[in-house]
Amino acid sequence: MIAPRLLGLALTASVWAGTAAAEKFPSRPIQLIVPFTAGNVVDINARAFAEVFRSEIGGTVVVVNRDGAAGMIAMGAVANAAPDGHTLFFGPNGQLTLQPHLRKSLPYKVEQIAPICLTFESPFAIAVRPDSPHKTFADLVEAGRKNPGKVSYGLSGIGSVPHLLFHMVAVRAKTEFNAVAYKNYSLLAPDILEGRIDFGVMAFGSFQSPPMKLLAVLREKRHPRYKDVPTSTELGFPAESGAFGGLYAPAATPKPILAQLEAACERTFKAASVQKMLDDTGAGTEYEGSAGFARRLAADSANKAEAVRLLDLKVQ
Amino acid sequence: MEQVFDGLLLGAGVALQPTNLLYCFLGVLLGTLVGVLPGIGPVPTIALLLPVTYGLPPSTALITAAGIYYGAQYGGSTTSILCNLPGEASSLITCIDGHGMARKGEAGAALAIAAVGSFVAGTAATVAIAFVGPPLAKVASAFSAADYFSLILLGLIGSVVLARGSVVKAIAMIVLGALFGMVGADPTSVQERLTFGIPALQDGIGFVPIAMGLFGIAEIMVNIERATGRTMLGATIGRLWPSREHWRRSWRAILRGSGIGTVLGVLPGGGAVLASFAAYLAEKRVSRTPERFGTGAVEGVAAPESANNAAAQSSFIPLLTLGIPANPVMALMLAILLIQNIVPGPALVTTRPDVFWGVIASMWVGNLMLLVLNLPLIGLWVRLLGVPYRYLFPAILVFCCIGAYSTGGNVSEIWIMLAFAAFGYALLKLKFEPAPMLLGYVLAPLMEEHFRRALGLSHGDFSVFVTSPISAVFLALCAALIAALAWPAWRRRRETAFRE
Repeated sequence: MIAPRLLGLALTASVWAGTAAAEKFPSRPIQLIVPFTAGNVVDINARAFAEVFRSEIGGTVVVVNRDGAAGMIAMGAVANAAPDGHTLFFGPNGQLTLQPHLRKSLPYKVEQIAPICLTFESPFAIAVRPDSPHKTFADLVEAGRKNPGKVSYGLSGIGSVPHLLFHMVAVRAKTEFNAVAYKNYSLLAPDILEGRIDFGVMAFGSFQSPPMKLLAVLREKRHPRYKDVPTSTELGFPAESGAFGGLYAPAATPKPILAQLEAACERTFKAASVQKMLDDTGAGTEYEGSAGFARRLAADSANKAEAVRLLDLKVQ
Repeated sequence: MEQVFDGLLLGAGVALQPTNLLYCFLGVLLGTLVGVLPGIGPVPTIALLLPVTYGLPPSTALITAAGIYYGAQYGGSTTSILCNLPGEASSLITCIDGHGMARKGEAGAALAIAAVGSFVAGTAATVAIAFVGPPLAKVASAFSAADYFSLILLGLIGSVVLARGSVVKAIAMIVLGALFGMVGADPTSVQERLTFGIPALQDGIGFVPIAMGLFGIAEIMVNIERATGRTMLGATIGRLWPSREHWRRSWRAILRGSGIGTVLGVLPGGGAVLASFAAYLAEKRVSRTPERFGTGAVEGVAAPESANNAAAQSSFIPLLTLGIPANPVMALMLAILLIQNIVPGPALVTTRPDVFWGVIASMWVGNLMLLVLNLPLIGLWVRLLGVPYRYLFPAILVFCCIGAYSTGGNVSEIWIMLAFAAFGYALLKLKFEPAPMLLGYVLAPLMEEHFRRALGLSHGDFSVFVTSPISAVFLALCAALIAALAWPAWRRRRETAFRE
């Protein structure tokens, strides 16, 4: 029975650390709660972040996966944790900016969460097969206008962030497409390449280009990884606020600790290994501190409320 | 052909480097351990080790992760056979006859057949990846949503065959299982179903709590009630090694299981699960003594255990040849490669032949290590059955609770598991079999997802299920299977009618 002995050791160690450094933050291991399963793009970035963050904050940092219920379980756990900076949320924006518009009850209140820093972005791209008759995004829009609802596209789920984002683009383009949900992106790629579906709205990291051909990236500025792919904004269909995210803490956390976390986050963000992982997964973005992050979230929330209203998604 | 041999030679050179051998061994050892522990699977293990792989050469990183994955398939059969505890869906079917063999005092034989079957399957799948990887990948991408639907429907109808007793009870169990599978978020949208506003049910009922409750814990309760002996099975441990008769019965099952597993493992999303079910059902259909199944037939262990191992390996094919990850483990492999600036896809074999062939060759090496590692462990595992149950049962319960908790980090999972344990106990008392229910639970949500997607793509036109040739063949097989099931009953009724 090795496990109980190890557990005992760990308990003794944490009790000791607690008494020795009661005044100091961090006084015990920091939990970075990620609302996805291990291996997800956000999870991989969280792990690269944690590697550097632990030396910047001067303590142990553990990544904890609490997936499920569109990330609301994870956000609820952080909102209701002791506000001492030892339980943090590392994830995207949807739990704060989309779910409140979809549901009557949440396991947390938006006001219970304080954003600390924005560190990553999950851009979405419009992907077709290489020999698709739709050579440009304008071709797709044209096809959609000629046969409203007949051109089909695959995405991760009805009412998901990419759905709302692309629906806003379609509304502005005065066209209508047939949305087909793919719980699992791994089934969408073969369907696109084999011509069973016209195009996909896919998250960076879930496709390879080539073989997939990209017609547009749903973004304002061109993405450094695909410099020759036009953005939706360039094409005249601005797609505000996709998926972005970073680090959050319970709102009641003492100000000095929040400041300490923000400073450590900015230094971590600049580390070469963190930047490389962001680049490799296509999740790189410009850094924002707590104030900028909060502004982005507020704007995004207003945008999502509008999209939910336009789509007439039933709130339950 | 010559290219393949050159490639394998190059791969063997990579796989046999001392560091790679060491990492391969560490991978399969770790994989075996997480496979044995219920609820802790290869996904969290590989994710935890992800930062470690940054510093390794790409082939070493991938060899280690691959070792963990197929090592876990070896380990998974151990708890299924010994304690009736399926750690993941792909080792569920092994419980039925594997634990049946253990009850007959043939646990050692079951473990040995599972290990040898896995090795043969691993070898077959390695050869398949090397020689027919790209054409097999084409098979996977040829499957449309309608084809998946019909294949799963065939599996669901076939699972009626699993039932030993009443067919009506089996159908009732499958439907009930399907309902349990429907709990949680609608697969395509934000809507919730059958959650009764309980947050813990928003994501549905997890496989680990339902399977461990229904199988493992319910089994413990029945055992305590019987309390015939001091030990778990109340039976003698029996022989450690399979008899000549065991081998005679299982060698064909191993080969068939390897074949089915290699082909179905290529399918993205649930390939390994479907493969183990399909191999078991096929074995029962071709058997001249199908009535032995369910009571500890060795073919019922050999076929699914070979199939799930073959499938675990052939699920690498879409990743290595098309760059498409077929399951969460493959998504992690993709991440490992991307970190190393390697983009998997059709070009991988020419741009990084060392990685492509190194991984393939290491699979065979790793399988050999697993065989050498697992055969001596059998004695140890079987001796566990001799531990008095007042020690063993609490230990199993603790492991189940840890397993249920660790899947999502939520205490509610443990409560769900205990509820299903009580339910499973009632089922056993009322002579309802839990296996078809769990099959319904696993397959129905998959079937629904593909059904709705097929109709979404066809704009609501149902003819898509018969106009797609693959789907049409599966539907024809479904009809044939229903006819075969109904035929004996129909004939009996006619005979009695004549007599009257």
